[in-house]
Amino acid sequence: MSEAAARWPSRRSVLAAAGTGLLALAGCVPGGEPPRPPVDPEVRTRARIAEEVRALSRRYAAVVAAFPDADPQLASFAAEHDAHARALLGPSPGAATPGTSSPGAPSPSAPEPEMPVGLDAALQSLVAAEQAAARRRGRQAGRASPVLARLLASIAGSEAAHAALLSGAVGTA
Amino acid sequence: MTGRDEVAVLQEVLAAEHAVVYGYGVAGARLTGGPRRRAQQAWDGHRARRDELAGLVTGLGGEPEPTATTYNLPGPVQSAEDARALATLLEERLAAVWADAVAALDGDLRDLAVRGLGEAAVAAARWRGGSVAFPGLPERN
Repeated sequence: MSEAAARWPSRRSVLAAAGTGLLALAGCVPGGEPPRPPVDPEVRTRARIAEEVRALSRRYAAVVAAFPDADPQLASFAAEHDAHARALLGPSPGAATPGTSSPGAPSPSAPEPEMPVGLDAALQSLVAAEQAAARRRGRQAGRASPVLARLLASIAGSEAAHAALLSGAVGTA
Repeated sequence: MTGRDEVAVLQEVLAAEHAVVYGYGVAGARLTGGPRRRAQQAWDGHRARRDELAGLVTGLGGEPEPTATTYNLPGPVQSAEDARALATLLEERLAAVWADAVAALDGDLRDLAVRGLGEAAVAAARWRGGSVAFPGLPERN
């Protein structure tokens, strides 16, 4: 990289910086670049956590597919995780339009773990996944805005409750 | 958030914990065996949390909310089934108070509220024998 390029911001970044300031307020951005709406960082946070929640739901789907006679609670827990993802992506007071996220897009999340052999082992793996998710959601709540923190704490509570109820089912399968 | 605001939020949770301690006393009397032991453990746990909250309020310069002399129960508690329904309701209402505290508090106190909501959600699910998608958020369930 040349010295000049290192010292001076590119034209693009100058315009991007201007776009978030007074010029954007006036609705006029020179240079022909289309104005980009500022993306609320919380929208990205919500999309990222929603994907974590969906991964949990997919683990349930895999267990139900492998063990069709498994506890019917599993399907309702999976549906609750789907509701969590919808709540995270849905409109919230004061948040920017969530349409800027791409909820359907594949994300570079960790590969799905292999299905354990036997229903009890599969349930145990779900218990561990729910417990880890609840701890993670609790930490995320600690860093979030008040509205999102309240939602994340509730989701953490739901995940912890799933783990507790599933623990009771392990060994009865 | 000022210490006075934090005290107001903690007093709300403290008042709710007083009610829960009272309610478990009523519910436990109608239970036997394992559920009775579970109610006893819950009663102990909520009394400890109540004392912890009173200590936090005092530490922030407040006067801890005292327990009320009487509480209105949602209905008569005459059977083990009534007792389990009451215990579920107590934990659900407590979860909602903790959820509002999560939004109102920061730092260590928010972490306490997150734990409080989680414990109430688990206890409610055990008494209910099932889960809800959004414990503590009555507007979503």
